[in-house]
Amino acid sequence: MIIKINEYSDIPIYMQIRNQIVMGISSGELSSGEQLPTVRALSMEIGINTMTVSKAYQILKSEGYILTDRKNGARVRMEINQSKSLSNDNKDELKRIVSEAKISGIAKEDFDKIINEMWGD
Amino acid sequence: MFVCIVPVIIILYFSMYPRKWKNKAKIYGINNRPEFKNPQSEELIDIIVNTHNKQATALLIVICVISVILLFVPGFTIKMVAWTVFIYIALFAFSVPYILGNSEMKKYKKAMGIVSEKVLYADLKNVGNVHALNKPMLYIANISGAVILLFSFLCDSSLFPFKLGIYSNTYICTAIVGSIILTNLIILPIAFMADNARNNVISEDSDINANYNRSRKKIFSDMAISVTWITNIIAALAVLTFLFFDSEVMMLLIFGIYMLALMFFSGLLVFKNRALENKYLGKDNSLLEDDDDNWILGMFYFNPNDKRLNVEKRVGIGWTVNMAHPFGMAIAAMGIISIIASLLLLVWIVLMDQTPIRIINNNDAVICHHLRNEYTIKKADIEYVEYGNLDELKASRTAGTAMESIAKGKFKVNGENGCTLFLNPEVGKYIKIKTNDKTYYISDNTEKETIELYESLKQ
Repeated sequence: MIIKINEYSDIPIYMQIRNQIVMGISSGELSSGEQLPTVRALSMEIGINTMTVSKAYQILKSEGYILTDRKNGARVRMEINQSKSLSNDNKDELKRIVSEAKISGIAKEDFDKIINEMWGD
Repeated sequence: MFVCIVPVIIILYFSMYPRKWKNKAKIYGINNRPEFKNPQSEELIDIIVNTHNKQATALLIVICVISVILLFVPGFTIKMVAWTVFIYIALFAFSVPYILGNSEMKKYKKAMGIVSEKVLYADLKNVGNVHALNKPMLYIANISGAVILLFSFLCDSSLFPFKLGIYSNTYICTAIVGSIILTNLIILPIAFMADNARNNVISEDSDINANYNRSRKKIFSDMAISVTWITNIIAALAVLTFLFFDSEVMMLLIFGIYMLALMFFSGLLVFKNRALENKYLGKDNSLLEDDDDNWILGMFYFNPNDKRLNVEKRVGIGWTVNMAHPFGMAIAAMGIISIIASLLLLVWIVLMDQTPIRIINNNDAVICHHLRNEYTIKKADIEYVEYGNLDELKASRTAGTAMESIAKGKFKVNGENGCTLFLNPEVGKYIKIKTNDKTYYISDNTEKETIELYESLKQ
């Protein structure tokens, strides 16, 4: 899985790492139980501070996507807790995206099609 | 110098100036991109590449011709000064077509509307997992080198039945073998650095990235091990020369072979890297990351957002420093200072070579003066004086200067430690002055003056 970090993005780098790992898990590019690189190795590879990667991993751990321990490093959880609902933050984000789509005149069918493509249907 | 500069320039010629640019990862330090491979761009880039490659070819010929001419410059000091200045000028001049090419490619890229997105790529599956260094082999090679060094030390210390003849207990053999083996200690961390280097992302497919990066690291690993073994062989030959041949010509020959072997392996490294680029970066893949703007003149890396100190070079072999990193700045400053210092040192060497020694023989003392050095030998302290031919002396320098026209400072002479030399070796004669606490070997600027001084001292 290739992760892309935009240095000039408004989104902080740790959040970009977090988002892309979540997308990787969702798309299946990162499988259950898959080993993630160590904080040090990933920070060296991208050329960023180790604290940035550490922060991304801490968020992923607190959200229940990954497990970390001293011996095995970071791994994708074998079974990720399925809440069957969207968080309020994500609902707000989705609301914003739907609003922008409506303003830009996209038909609901086209919008559904995009969602279905992303969903993997 | 000739053995060094000519192969280096030839290696640089092939690594800096691409012939079939379409199959190369970089064109004058600019990442080769799919956008460059449309007919209109190809035509323009062909013109840029042909123009600067022709300039480089012309420079290569000029540098080779001047190198041959410099072989016939008389006098060691003048030759050394001429070579050093020439090497600096040659390396700078040879970079000029590359710098111009880099500037034109950057302008063309801008004209095409390609703006760096400042996106960093990392292949998550390969991070920290792609290694190719054969560590056991590297350790064995280094241990072998250490054994050779230990052997030379034991021979030097007369702890072995093998005798080093006149060099026994001088530790010259150990010093020379140690300086050769030092190359291994430089290669060792570089080999590990290369093995842990960042992986390039050339494809969305992790397997392609892994294979490409593993191959890259394998080439460097093989090279590091080969050069370590070559260094060991050269060190062993140096010890054997000391033990059985005692020949300076033989030693020079060994060093010549060593230089050629290093050049050969450097050339091989460039050749193998090019073959790898042709295989992986030809049609379907190219480096995804665009950090061209971080490379000043396509050579010097300056990226304040990158926390790494070492980055792979854009041109040539090996690694360079990020000049925006605090240590990188310090290393770059040291590099500039060392270049300036080496030029100032040349001026000092010329001064030492051209300034004649001055001996003042007055009633009470003999005063030897040369630039900032002055020795005063009180006549009352002199026990005896001797006159002889310089080829009778076996002298090794402890601290001081040994040049064609001046030898001064502390030397070990015919097994006696702490002797003070102050003579012009070109005269070929010496006066040995033994005082109650020191031994001096001096001469004047001519044989006649030296004899006159001896006669005066004898009385």
